[in-house]
Amino acid sequence: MKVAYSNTLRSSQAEPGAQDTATCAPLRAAFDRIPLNNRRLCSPWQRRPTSASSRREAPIVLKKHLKNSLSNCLSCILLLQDLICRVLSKLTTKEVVRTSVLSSTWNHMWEFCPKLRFDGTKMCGTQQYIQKFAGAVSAALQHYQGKMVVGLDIKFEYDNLLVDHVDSWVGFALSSSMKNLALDLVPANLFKADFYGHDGDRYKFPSRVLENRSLSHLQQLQLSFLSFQLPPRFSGFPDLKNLELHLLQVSRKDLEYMLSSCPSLEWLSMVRCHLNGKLKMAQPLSHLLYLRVECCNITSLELDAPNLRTFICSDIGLGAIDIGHALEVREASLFYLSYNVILEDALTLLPKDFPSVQRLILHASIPLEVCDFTLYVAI
Amino acid sequence: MAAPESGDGNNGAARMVTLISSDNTRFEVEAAAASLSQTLQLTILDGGGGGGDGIPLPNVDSATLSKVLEYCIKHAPAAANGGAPNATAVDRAELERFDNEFVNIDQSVLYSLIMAAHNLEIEGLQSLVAKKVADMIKGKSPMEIRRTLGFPDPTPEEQAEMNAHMLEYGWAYE
Repeated sequence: MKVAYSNTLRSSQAEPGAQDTATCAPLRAAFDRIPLNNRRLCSPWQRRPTSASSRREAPIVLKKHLKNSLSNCLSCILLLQDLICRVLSKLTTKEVVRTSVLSSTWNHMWEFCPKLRFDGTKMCGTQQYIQKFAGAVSAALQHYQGKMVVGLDIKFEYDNLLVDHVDSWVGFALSSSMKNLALDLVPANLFKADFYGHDGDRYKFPSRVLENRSLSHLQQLQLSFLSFQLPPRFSGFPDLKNLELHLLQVSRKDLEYMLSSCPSLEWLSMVRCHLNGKLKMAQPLSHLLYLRVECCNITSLELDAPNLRTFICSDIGLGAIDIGHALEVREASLFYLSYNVILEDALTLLPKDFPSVQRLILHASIPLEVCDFTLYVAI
Repeated sequence: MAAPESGDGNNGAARMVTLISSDNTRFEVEAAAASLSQTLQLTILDGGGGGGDGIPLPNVDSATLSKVLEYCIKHAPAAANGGAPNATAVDRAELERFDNEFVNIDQSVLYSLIMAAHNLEIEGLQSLVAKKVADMIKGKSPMEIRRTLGFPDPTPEEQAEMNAHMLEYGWAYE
């Protein structure tokens, strides 16, 4: 393979004809011939092929005199598909859409922007604006139908009137085999949602979507302010590495089953997902490096994460945390907001729970039994 | 594949290769630095470019090549550490400062650099020049973007197309 490649390289450099390949006009023409739905256009995030055969497509070469005449023409080389994708990946969706007025060639380029981010929280929170935002997102997604999109990130204040829009966005996520999905719905009133959030205010994630294997490519998933029930035939998230759940309404059984269907999970954060009981994982999460469980009303936590490095939790009793041997945990933060911790327990249990910890934060109110002066010394 | 790679490792970091620019200037650099180019990497692994041979690069002139090599030499140690997981914050900040300074150049140089990074397939440099172009686009109106990037003024048809587009995607222009 290598001999063939190096010959190819030398011979392509030796052929004078090869140098004619990229005058501006043929480049533009060649570019225009690329089918718009060509997936290679979205490929800078995938590993570039390195086989000898793919390298045979000679690099674009400019003759010296041509190069001089084009030397100020950045617009010409901006037709290189690889460069366009790299540039677009570094812009926000808004900026990408603006570039489409650059030329007729760029007109549809923004549709290949493989990461989409829509943030409606910066708009004034009136009903009218939120409706307008949802409409704009749906219209934009229409243009991406059937095309590859690597990630979709939508953040806005959710209202039940918008359920059809959100359904269509989830349907879109399903059809485009994406890797990152963030449905970051924001409640109008966080306090109300957190304490009385069981009254159907949340978006109900369609169960049938979880049966579909199209979501099994997901590597990052962020769900906020919604509820879901696992379907009987849940297909799991075999590639999921990063899971962030906020204000999620889900049964303990479903959550445990979902987590056990994420064998690659490295990063897990659960905040305000009220489980009201015990969370127990039967299978080890052997790739898990980061675990955060806060304000979830969990009475005891039992899971085996042999490679865990960072652990953050709140309000889980000191004796009720069992994360296996936890030999790798270097950073641990424990917050106790709603009840007191007995200092003696903390001093005896924490070193056992986290034998290798280097940085430990314990935030709690510790009652002092004022019966002995020596206590001051102890503290 | 494994044998030549280990052979290369035995030669150590001091192994030098010679690159010849389009105007026949010879550049001698460490193999590790030149290997940041995917295009050159396999040739170098094959033992090419050493001694009196040199690897001819007919697409890259000496001014551009020296600029490219400046980048490669600076980034080679970090790349050798596999993306430098052990790098200190100071090292990373230094590389970032270097990168920012490196692309603070005028458009014709940037143009040559983009072409060279593309031809030589230097991942980090491709990403860096793309970031520079993206920075040139950020926060500008469509006409400003056109002028910055050297697009000709729009024809009446293009202007009409632009207007229609701005009407349809008003949210992107707010």
